[in-house]
Amino acid sequence: MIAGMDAAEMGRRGGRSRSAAKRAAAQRNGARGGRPRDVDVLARRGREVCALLAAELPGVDPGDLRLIVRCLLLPPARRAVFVSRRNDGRYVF
Amino acid sequence: MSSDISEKTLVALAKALRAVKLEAIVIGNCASMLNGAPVTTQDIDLLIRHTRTNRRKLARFADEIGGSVPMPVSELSTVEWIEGRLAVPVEIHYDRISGGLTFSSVRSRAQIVAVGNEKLRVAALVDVIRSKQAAGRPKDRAVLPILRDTLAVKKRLGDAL
Repeated sequence: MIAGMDAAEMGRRGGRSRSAAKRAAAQRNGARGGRPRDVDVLARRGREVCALLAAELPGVDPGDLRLIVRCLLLPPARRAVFVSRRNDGRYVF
Repeated sequence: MSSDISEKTLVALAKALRAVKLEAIVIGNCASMLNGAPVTTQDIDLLIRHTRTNRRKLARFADEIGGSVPMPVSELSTVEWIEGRLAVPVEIHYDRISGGLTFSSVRSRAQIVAVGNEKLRVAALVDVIRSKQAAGRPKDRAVLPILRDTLAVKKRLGDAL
């Protein structure tokens, strides 16, 4: 750690860097498939949490548990699903 | 599944409440959803204090969402609803809800939830369950098992999520 520099400043310096070492590291990570997609992260985390809870909550249906955990992993605004009636009488989500 | 419409609706709701400085608590199934329960709803229920000032703010709120003046749901009920530009109508409950829950008691357990750059005060899941239990209508009873399961999961996970 660089003495007298906080983590935010170190992050800013790292982000600004255009070094050959950083470029090489980014290419290595890219070759491995790069950063996992958000949907993959959400799915993996959901599986992990469900595996953890399934034994502790045997009364909860596994399908329901998956839905609940998925909802809880999403940011609150993305948890909402309103059923809205259009003027033509059809319903949309 | 969640949709862009639903997210925009919540942001527009929060923005309108902030604009008119109306203190409201999201209750009902909208609160259940924001608490992580996998349910859907066709309206947004709000609990507010019944004061003259709030009546004025409510009229301005209805204006903000491009809505009608608040209208009673029925002759037997004090609940009112506003049909506006939001994807779903807004139902207004005054001072208390089923289960002997007053505005103050619900507010004391409610959480502030971020939606986009806005914030909403959302009733605790335990209060939603209590009010639905007390209301006891078929549509309330139907949703209770999944709400109880969600509460159990949240208790197990604590602050882990």
